[in-house]
Amino acid sequence: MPASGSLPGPLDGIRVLDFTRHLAGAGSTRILATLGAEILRIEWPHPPALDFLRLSGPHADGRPGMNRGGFFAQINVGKRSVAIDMSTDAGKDIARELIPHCDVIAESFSPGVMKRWGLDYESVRAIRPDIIYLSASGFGQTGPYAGYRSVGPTAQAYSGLTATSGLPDREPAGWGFSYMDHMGAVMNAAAILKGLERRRATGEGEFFDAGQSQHGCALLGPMLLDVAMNGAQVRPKGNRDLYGNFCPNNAYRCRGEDSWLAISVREPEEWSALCRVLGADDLAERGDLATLAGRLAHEDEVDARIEAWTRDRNAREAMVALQEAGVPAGVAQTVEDKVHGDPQLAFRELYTTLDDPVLGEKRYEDIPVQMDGFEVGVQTPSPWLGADTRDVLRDLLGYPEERLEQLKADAIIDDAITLEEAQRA
Amino acid sequence: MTGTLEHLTVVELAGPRTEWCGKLFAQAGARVVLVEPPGGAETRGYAPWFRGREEAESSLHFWHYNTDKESVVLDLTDGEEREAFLRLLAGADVLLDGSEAGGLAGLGLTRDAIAAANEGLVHVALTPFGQEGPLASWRGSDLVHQALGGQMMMNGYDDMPASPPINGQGNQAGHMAGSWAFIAALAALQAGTGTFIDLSVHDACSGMTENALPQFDYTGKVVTRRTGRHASVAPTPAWQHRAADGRYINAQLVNVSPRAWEGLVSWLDEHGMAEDLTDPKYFVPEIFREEADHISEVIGRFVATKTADEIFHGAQARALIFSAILNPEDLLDDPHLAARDFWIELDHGEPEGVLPYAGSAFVAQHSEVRPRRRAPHLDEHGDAIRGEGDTT
Repeated sequence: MPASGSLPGPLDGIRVLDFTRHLAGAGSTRILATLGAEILRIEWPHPPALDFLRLSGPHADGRPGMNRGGFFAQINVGKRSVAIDMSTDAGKDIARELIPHCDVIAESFSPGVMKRWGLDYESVRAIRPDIIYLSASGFGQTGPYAGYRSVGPTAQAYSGLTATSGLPDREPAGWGFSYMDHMGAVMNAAAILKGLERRRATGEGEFFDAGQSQHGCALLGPMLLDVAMNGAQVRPKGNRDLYGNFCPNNAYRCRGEDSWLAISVREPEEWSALCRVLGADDLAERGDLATLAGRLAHEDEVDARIEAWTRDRNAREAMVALQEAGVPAGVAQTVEDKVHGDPQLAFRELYTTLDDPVLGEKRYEDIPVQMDGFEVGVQTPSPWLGADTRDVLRDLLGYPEERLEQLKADAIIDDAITLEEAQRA
Repeated sequence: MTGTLEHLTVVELAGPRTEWCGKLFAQAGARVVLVEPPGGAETRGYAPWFRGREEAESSLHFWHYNTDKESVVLDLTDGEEREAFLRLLAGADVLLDGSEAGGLAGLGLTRDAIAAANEGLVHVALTPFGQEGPLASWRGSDLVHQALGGQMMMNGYDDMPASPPINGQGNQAGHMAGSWAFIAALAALQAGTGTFIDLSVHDACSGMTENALPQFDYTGKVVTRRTGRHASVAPTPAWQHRAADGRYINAQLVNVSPRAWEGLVSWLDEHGMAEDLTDPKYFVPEIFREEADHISEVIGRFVATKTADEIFHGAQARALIFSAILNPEDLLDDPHLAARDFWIELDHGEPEGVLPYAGSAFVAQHSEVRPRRRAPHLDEHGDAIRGEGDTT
């Protein structure tokens, strides 16, 4: 939703000292930002505090640069950037001075980095006892794989998710939308909010040790009980429902190149409606197909009949015909379909356009939430590296101008306050 | 240890869309009252079944998503039972409402009537496509939402002509939207005033497609699916390799540090399988990129001589982000999950006894996020709950 600025955000007044990076980490503080929290990204142009997504493509005008990355911009909307060299003692001191002003610390380094900086939970808690502290890592802070590294595909592979998605008897398909980066971010945001809610009730702080891979395991859903209680072996079934709770349930080829329509049926009235739209009176009349179990026994036949109908049809027209008859159906959409051909996403304004002087006018994915009486969602672009260093240290810590100049001259802090500087970075 | 959210009361209208959000509250210690229609929640009829027992009170789907909840049957078409429902809401912090858009209002339970019962209530309405809009009355499913949301077109095979896009199994559309419902409800509670939250599953899925939107917006190109790896606008090297034991490895080579590269090459070299990767030219990022297919092939030949576990642990010891592609059942005896108490036991009483369950992935220090009690039988807590707050 475009911001009007007239209503509060539900997390107004919550300030986060943010040491997260990448999608699984920085995506969590993006969520908090869209709900009104103030996010202070502590970063630096060199590892480990450099977010490598700042260097990743696509780039504005195809030219690389710290402030030109479109993926980084997508994940860091609404945040502020404070550039501090955490490898220096003076830099660590500044970070410690910021702690009393913050409700939350979030970090997603490999285990050990925050401790090296004197910013592990015990140290931070000594300064601010009610801090909500999130350590997000690939495999968590404890256990035999605690030091292991992970990105989305690693977590998907380890958790069992990867093995469950694909065509039967083929190698896994791979969850190419990097699911556990998104869900890592979502679960990390959920942890922080749980901490804030508990603090609201008890006044106490909390520490969360989040492992992206373990969150992946938890997302296996009922498969977990199937393997634990039934000794089941779960293997992929293409797009058919793993447990036969829906049938038909598949992606059907439509007219044109790589065009597919997903259809799911569970209820008897959905099956009747599907048969009606297909003009398949013979299927509608067959008693053996009237029940879910009966259709599962004839799944190949049912799928073949549906695809015989879809393959000469435009996917979108077929979808509309089915949905208007009450059959769950959806085109397998590309990003282009969603941006230009999805009336519901347009109605709900899922894509917000923001103008950034370096990146230009670009689209941003908004959040799936509308909240009465509150302004939520994407409102301001991502920060240039160090854009807010001076304001934050001046306003929160009362640093005078001379001190800021000296810290910059000593390369303890950095800033990017002019467009020229931002373009050059 | 106490539950993280044990001070909260949540009323959940039973339905496939709300059950994951309800579980997130319940395992954190909140009291979650599951309001079921006469005959029970739809998902009580979902497979898989406990030991193949396709009968009432045996759905593992229901058992999984409804741990710790209390069950009460209320017929919301009946005036007295609607009153009991409103009394329940009067004592609740959150209402999880997965009914179709306008569904509750049709029973006289309008937004205003609900807010009047409890002005501080956070009412989360989770619908397939949102409360309003041209497609608000359309129907969804896990598959349909991953199709429309864009997940499927980013997942599949680029080395298998004319193969379909593939969904992620396991109710993931429900997980995406339900997790967002949890986040939105907790955020609203921070503001301390009641509100109505309109959350769409389609929106939730549509916003989780990694780099697809920036690529399209900045380059005009559409990402397409690649076997075993991220969807992308241009071909990328294969990184899913088959190990000697027939299992697969995810051997992603993105953002590889010089130290990790040295570790990898010397590991291959120890086995006489580094081929030309010992050439220092590969430290030049441009050459590394140009030769990515060749590098992938050399690694694939090495992986084929080792077990998946040997590659997984050997690579991680060398700071590489590889993993074995485990099957769900492999997690049962995984030492890392065991050390982190991922698997737990819950007591079903007779006749099932104590059964193994998956715990939570949330690990907190001062409080606990962990299922403690099996899912309720239908209306198990009904008599007590129907009487709550009834002063007549």
